[in-house]
Amino acid sequence: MRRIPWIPITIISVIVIMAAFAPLIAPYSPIDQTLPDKLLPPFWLEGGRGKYILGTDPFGRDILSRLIHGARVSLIVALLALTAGGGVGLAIGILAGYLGGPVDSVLMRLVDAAFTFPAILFALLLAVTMGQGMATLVIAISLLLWASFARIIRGEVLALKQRDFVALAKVRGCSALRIMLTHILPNVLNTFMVLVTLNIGVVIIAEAALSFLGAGIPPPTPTWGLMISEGRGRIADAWWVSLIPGIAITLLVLSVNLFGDWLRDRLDPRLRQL
Amino acid sequence: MSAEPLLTVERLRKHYAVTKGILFARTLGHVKAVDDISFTIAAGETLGLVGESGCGKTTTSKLILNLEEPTDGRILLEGKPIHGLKGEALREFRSQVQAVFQDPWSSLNPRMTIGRIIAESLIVIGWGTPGKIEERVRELLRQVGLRPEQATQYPHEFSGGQRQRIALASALASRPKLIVLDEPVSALDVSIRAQMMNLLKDIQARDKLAYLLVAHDLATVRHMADRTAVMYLGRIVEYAPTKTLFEDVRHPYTKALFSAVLQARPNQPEDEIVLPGEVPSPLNPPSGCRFHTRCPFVMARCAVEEPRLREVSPGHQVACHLYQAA
Amino acid sequence: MSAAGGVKDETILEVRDLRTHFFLRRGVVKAVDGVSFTLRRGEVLGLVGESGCGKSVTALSLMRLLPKGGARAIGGEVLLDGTDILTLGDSQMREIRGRKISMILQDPQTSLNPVFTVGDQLRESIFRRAGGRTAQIMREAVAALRRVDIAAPEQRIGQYPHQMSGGMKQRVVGAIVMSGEPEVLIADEPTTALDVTIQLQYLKLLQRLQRETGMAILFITHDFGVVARLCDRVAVMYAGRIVECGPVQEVFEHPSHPYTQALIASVPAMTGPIGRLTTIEGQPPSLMDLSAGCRFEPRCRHAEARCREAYPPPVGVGPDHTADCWRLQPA
Repeated sequence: MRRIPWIPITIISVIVIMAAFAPLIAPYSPIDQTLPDKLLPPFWLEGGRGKYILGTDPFGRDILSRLIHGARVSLIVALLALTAGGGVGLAIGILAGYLGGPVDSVLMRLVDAAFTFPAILFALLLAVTMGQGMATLVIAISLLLWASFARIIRGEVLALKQRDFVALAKVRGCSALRIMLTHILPNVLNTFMVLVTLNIGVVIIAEAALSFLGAGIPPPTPTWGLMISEGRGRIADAWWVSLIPGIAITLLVLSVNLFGDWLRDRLDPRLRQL
Repeated sequence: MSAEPLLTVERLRKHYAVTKGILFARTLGHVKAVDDISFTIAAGETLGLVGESGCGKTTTSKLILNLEEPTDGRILLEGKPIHGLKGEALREFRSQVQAVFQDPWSSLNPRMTIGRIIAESLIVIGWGTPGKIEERVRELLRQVGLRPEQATQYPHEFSGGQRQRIALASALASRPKLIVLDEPVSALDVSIRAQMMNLLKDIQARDKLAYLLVAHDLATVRHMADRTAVMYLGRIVEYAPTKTLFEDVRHPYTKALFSAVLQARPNQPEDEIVLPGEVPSPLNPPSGCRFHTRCPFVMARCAVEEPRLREVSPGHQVACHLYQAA
Repeated sequence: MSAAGGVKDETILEVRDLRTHFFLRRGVVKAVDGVSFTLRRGEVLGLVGESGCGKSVTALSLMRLLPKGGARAIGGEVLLDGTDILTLGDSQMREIRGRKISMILQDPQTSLNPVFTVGDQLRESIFRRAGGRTAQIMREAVAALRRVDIAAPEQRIGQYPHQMSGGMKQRVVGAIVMSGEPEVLIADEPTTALDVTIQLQYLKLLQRLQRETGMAILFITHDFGVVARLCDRVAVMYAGRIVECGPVQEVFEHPSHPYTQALIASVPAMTGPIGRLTTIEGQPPSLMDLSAGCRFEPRCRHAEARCREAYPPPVGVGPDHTADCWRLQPA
């Protein structure tokens, strides 16, 4: 058995707690501007002040507070997009893989089409027509996700379909729906969970990219992507404005991936004993 | 034995189209996996279906289990066709015909407890209350030589032989009349194999079940089957009571098959019949008798004229020109 | 079988007290735990046992091909023509492997590389042994295929493994192995995946090649029928130990170890009365926690107190025939 990944779990827990209790934890408001205090470096650097542990941005807002509130937005977007996109992908993958034939052909052509789709462009288009906001962001990211989920899950289902217990379920009298729900679904949940954890990173980065491009959550609501974007003009003299949310994204994505690897091994009963 | 057989297979054919291309697929030919076979199984008896890989025995079992639709011909269970059933009639059929497959590692859903696996068919047919089902599961576990407490364990906690017992318990749950046993012991170790064969015979004797035993091992068939059909390239070439067959092998292919069985006795003469080459492709089976390309007794007419199954002694049928007057 | 006649008593491979253990996080699996046997020039020795008894791990230990990570031969000697190959360096072992000692596995698919033609793989092996010019090697490759009864070898030589049936692939593996002219061949269940008529073809071929070359074969199988047909002597393995060893006729006619007796009795026969089959109740022990006593004791109908206390030493029960059982000890 692999060791429990305590460091990633701690990092993830800290970020989740931060997001859940943002208003209680954050020392300052994430949106109120204190212009005289703008662009202060973190406290350990020359010119930094203990008041602003991680410094301030060009509008004099506390970066720590924005980071804490930003975690909330980023995680909510990730959760919604993964539920929507991942869920649709899971359902389509199982349907296409198990039913096969024309259903499979049609669904998989849709998946192929989704892969050729310029997702970022579509997100920008959506932002223009629907307006910026969380709904736009979630729909755009879901559209980016579902196809890869569907394709991987379908592959898994095709392999499972060859196993005798699926044929035997039919012999026992199970309907197609029942087989998909009780025999196929539980056996692809591992893969699904691993895909979800691996894609949390993708989603957070996509959210950051879209917010950076102005197709995400409108300012001044903090998101990690937006924070990077706001610092991009001052990267030479006030690098911390971009770098600190960048480090936060890296830490979260890395932790989630390490946790995902561990979870995959853990969830497989055949590996549990080793 | 009643007058009407439990299962009747009539002129059954299953051809698979071999295609090339996706959008405008061209049919290159048909694999004749099963090509015009007929047999019956009486209530409570065991029919052995013997042959080598590619002979069509597994396809036959899938057709009987209603997992595949036949290309032609029909299968009757107690006089009623089994294909095209819907709703209640299909559920009724499913509870009467069950299966145990070869690979104990792939037969059980790794995410279900074995209690849940065994209960599956009962849950599907709405057999009774959860309490009643649980009791039936415990009874089944005892019948196959496992402990009722083991119902809460997962398949990976069991050995191959135990898994095959669990597979049998779940086939027995709905009290079927026929169980298709597709190589039920060939994946098991020698000492475990004997345990399983004894168990299958005990259960048959008690429940008056019929078995269709699909196997490649003749010794297994000899110990289990009342009658035996030998298949080669989608056809039945010999069909007889097992006892008669083992005393009086007629078809040259069956002879070669018997000769290739290596017995656990030293100093046997090394004069086995070695068939040349391998089984031809079922995509393009040889003309006339399908065995004529490898037959040690081949005659001119074998290449042109297909021999039909003829009775050579009571109940013993052979499809070979050697036993048929021109 | 009386292949290479006079040299039959000469030992080519001697295994002494071989121990191969798998060191896993949850414990030590004693897959091979004190195996000793000799293989003489020109003989076929059968190594029979059920799955998990350690027969394949024994073979891999002899080839020094144990899986990386955890598996180690922790004791014993494997003397090939007098040299302990367990002490050889990797490069020395590579010199020996494929030439002096070679191996055929159950699944020919894993032995052949799917992206090279059969001819490429065969020519590589011939070149490794003898070198030579392309045309010469090509002729030898065709001859090697003909020798394993492959029809139209000139055409087959340009084919890829997936274009061949299982039986044919196993012949190709045989041709590659034979081109190295090994003195010892380890065959690990080479016919288990084959149909019975194809198995017979293959065993006859192997027997012919063995008689022609006089090589020694260690034939690993679970099938007593194959042992009876092919082998001169047989060693029966149970839970990491050889429990009985002797000439095939001796062992089949006078099986001495209770495990051998039960195993032979449980094989369904092709003749004789049909009744209940004899079974061995229970399961083999876990190789992770073995008792100090006889490993078969929990399933043995003759078990006594002393069987639980210590592992029985081998006892001679007939000419060249030994068994590890306390009951056989002279009082």
